[in-house]
Amino acid sequence: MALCKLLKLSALASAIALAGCGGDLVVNAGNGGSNTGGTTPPATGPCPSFASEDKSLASINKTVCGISGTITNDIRLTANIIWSLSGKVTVGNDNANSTTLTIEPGVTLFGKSGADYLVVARGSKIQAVGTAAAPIIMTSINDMLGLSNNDSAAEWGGLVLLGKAPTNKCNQADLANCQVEAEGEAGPYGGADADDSSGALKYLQVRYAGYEVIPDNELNGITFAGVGRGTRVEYIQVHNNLDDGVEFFGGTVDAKYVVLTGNRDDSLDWADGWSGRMQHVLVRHNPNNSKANRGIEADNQSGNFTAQPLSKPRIANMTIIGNNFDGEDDSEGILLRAGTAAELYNIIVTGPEGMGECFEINSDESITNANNGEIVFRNSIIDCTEPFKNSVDSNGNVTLDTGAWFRAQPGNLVGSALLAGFIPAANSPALTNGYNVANYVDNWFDNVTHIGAFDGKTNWTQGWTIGLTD
Amino acid sequence: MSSMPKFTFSRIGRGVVLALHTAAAAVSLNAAAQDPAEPLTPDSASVERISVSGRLLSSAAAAAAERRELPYVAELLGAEQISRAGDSNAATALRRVTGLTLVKDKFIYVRGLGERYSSTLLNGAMVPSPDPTRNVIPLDMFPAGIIESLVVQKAYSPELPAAFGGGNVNIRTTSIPLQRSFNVALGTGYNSLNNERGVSYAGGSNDWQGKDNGVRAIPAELAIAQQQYGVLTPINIAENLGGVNADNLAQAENTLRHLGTAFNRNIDINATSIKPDVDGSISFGDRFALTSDSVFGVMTGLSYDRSTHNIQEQERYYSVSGKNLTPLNRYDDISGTEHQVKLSGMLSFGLDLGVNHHLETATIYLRDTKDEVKIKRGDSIETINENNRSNTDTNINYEQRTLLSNQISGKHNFTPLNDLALNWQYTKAKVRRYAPGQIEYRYLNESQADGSVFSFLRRNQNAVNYSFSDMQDNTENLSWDTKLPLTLGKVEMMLSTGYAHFERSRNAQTDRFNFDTVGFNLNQLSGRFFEIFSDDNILNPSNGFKISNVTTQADDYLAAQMIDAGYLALELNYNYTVRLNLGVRYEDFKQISIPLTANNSISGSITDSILQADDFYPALALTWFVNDDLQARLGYSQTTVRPDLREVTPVLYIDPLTDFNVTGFANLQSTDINSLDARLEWYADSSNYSLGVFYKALKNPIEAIELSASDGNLLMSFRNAQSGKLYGIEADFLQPLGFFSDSIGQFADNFFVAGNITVSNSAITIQRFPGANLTNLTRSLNGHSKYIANLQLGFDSDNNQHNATLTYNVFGKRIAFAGVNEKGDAFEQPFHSLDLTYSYAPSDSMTVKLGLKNLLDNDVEILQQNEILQKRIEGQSYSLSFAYKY
Repeated sequence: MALCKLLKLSALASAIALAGCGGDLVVNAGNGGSNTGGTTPPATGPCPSFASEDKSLASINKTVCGISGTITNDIRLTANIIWSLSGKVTVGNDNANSTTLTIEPGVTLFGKSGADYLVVARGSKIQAVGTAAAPIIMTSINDMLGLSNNDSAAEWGGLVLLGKAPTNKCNQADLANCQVEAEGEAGPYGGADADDSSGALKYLQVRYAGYEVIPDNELNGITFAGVGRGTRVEYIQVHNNLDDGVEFFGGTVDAKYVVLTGNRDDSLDWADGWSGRMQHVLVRHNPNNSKANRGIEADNQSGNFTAQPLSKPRIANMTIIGNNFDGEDDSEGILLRAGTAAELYNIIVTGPEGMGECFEINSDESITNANNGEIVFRNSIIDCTEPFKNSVDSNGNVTLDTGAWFRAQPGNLVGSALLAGFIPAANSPALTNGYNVANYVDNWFDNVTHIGAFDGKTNWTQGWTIGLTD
Repeated sequence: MSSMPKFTFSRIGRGVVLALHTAAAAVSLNAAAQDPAEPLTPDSASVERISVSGRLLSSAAAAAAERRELPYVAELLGAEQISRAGDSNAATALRRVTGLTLVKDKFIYVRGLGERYSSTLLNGAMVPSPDPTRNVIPLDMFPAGIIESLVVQKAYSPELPAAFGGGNVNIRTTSIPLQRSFNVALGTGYNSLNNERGVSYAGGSNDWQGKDNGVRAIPAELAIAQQQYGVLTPINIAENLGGVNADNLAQAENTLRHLGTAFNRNIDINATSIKPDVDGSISFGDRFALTSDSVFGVMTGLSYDRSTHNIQEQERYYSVSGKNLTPLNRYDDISGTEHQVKLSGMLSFGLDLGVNHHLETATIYLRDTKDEVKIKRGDSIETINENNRSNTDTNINYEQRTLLSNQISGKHNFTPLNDLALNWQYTKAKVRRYAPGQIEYRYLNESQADGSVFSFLRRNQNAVNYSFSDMQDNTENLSWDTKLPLTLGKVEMMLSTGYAHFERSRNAQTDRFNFDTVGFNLNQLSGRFFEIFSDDNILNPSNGFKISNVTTQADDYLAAQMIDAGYLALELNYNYTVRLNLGVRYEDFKQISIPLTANNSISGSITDSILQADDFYPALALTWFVNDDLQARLGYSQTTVRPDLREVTPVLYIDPLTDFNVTGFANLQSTDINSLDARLEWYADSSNYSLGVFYKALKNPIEAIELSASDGNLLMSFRNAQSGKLYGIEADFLQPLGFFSDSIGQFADNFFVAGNITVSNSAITIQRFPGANLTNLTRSLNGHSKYIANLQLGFDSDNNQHNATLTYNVFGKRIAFAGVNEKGDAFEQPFHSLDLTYSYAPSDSMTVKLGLKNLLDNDVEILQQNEILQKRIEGQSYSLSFAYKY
């Protein structure tokens, strides 16, 4: 009836009669005259039914199949096909239609713009398990066509995992109702299940991603939002991301063998009560001195510096190598702020002469944590031109002499780490002075005697990473 | 829908209403020229029981008399009162009504209930709001000159739309003047903040009309490119060129650079001195006797108002650290200038065919344009802890809102049919909010070792944002009401019934573009805006300049609403001692709102976007005429408050009033309200008093809440709380001070006091929501003030040449934002406003008027745990106007 005419506002491609309205409210919506997107062609020969054939890529002799929208049935991406993302592709609905996206070793998946990104909703899983010889690659169409280079970034959105593990943004007495909106309009995360699993990421590269939705709201390379410790994360790389490499918003997920290269903001960022563990982490800012910020930027929670439970991850064997970028912010080492706690073992922070400060603790609450043992930072080497930045109050009075604090912790060294590239040289103090975190901290950690990400014998980045052999 | 009540059987009523009808017509003509000097016509002498001793007094008394006759609790504000108090528009005038508070100079809060609990009718018709973020019409769009009267009904009656919360404002205009009249008025004004220099940018040549000449519009090349390529990315353009390869990508990037040069970059912001405000109006009305009892009338008026106001504000956002608040965002120095142009035109024709038939048309056009430049200096989350870095954010915000309403209506009395009365109206209205060329960018300021400060535009994908928004609503509203008087012994009855149909469609579109400066070097970015984005810099491939309109969310939406309603009501009047009104309205309501993605496909599930409800809304009112001076009332009703289209559409938008990011919530439900009112009214010769109590129970009240989101991104949305209640007491009075004897009395006789006070309490219970960590689960309603007081002291000289009014208004603190994450609720603090108007009429045809506003120089402050969250310096404003009447 009358409303039928009201909505004749655009060129109408399809008409949907709303049974719920008794049929008299008819809404027409379609691709208002624009000749791109909008309609999804029916599944055709070479692509499985959940995908649609996309334009083939020059010089790549494989079918390209596009996935879009919300995936509500288990699907498997196979390596005989190149996969493309169109818009926000979500695995499952929020805690509904839960499903699993399986990605086979050697699969390449690409996006075309910052609006193309992959989200795993709460309750659903991604099984992206590659092999060292056949890693899974998520990248941009530019890269697929050989048009990306060491300066490229922000060519597509990124990967977002939304889980049901706790975050301190929620009322801890009511975690069942915990729900926080993730950045980039990705969806809600959070919950009461610390053991939640979002699946597995192994031998996975995320290249040239990142997108700023609005200022201070970005898509990271891999966003772990409320991701639980049931999720397996090993051998992942985020390369040349516009924003942070990996960012943890609360959650309990652990990760081993993590490579963060050429990321333009913070390489490892955490907030909101992340309490996971990490071992064997390499951060390298872009050697061409393009934009970079911190190796680690850590918050408890910026809205509530004392929110409980505190962000307090345990990180062992990490090497951070800065660059000479000097722009709106410098390439820096580690910044602990906004009330965070942390346990940092066997860390190397180094970089060229123009690098900014390598270690800083900011906010009174984090300083308190440093003074009462909630921040542990030991058996580590700071090898920088500007090793420390003191904390000062609004009157400029020093509230923490960061260098003195660091030197007072056991096993720490301020001096040369003697690295050859990112691998310690044979005479490096890093080779022997490590803390045996497996024995003394948590047997989740591997047995080590070295400081930094590498023991001088094995280069575990070999074979499955990009951008490290230049 | 509702129409001017006709009182055909009340002894007192007939005379008063007839008199009011004519008196109001005369007054409205005066008001159109903002000329208060016209004394009431001799007809007013026929008004029973109203002694005319002064002009304000007369209109206040007339208003009281009409109020007395209305079967439901209501207030009436005549044009005279509005003009008298120096009010320039409907919004400021309504501040003087019992239990009403004016918020942001735009919306009224009835009995301390937020703007969602008030609704607006224009001559009884539902018209859409040109503010996309709110259901209600910003009342400051209606210039005082076109208003004949404002009727605020605070108790529901079934001829009103069921979407009734705390009050309904009916803005009435007139069509047949009492005599030929021609008025002109000219005025000027100034605000104390304007003694500092303001800021402005080039703009367009028609800005003085409040109309963009196209300079801010989306560039034609860009529109064509969007048609051709869809979302503007190098990949899409390359695909369009035949495939993604290095050559096509290079060409695509070249295209994107060239498109960059199409943007209006002539937006360099310069300091300017501020010109005084100007306003003017002209109106004409005439009546032509066709036969002995048939009259044709015409009324027309034009008004124009241009004003400039400097901005001085502060904004902060806090994190908690234990019991203390620490700023997470701190903009302590916000300055800027707002230019506003208001234009209105009105044309109406009326035809009286004998005393029984009246036809009229009314065409009203309103335009309200705001052009604001805001420069915010301070720290965001990224710089707050870095002593050597700060931000300078620049926002240009241009917004053109228009309303065009065409109405035709009739009132008929069929004497052969036992005086059956029929009123009908058909209104077609169109509103548009056109906001092209809204621009935002941020410079970072970095202190150098040598003490100098290096400032540069952000080097980012998103360094500059341009957005172009256009929202249009079209509505149609048809309604008719009939009334049939019947007499049964001592019982006089009035049977009434009516039908209303309303439909609305909305098309809202926003196109956002950003400038990518990642490839620029910092030295280039340290220039001024037009230098950074010179054609050379944009077109130089080595800078990597790009425009993009990639978004991750739906920006556009289509929505529609339809209401069919009918009612039946009965009035029983027993022996002029007791009157009982009872009735019920049935409404069938349907609403749909569909978010659209960038390529115009439906975002999300369409079934989530439907709201449908049909229900009965009963109302009952009992009036007891205790004696000639005293009457008592009791009223009960069930009504609803429905979420606005915007609030149910999960599309991110920026609230223009708060600058917050807001997203709709598809599952928002309507609020059911049960209201109970009781009131005692006492009418003496020239004074009157009333005392009332009220109670409202709310089921599922809609509250704005802050969602838990990522750091530094304040995101507001809406949720239904479980329940709420509101109860209170209100009193108003009008008293001439002539009761003193001897010489004091002689002098005091020229003065009167009027005012009203409302004291109330509200409480809501709100449950824990996924996604919001509310601090308080029981608290008062958002926006509710525990007390509201309006007091007026008026003076009318004996010869009526001098008139003055001193007006004081205050409201108790009210929740502006509910606290989250252990932070307390944020309260807007009481604002004490004291205004003075004085007018001098040296002759019958001339008036000079002086207005002084905010004499106490109060500021608007929102505090959270005693820390400033938002602060706005209002300044004092002065106005002077001259009116001439022929």
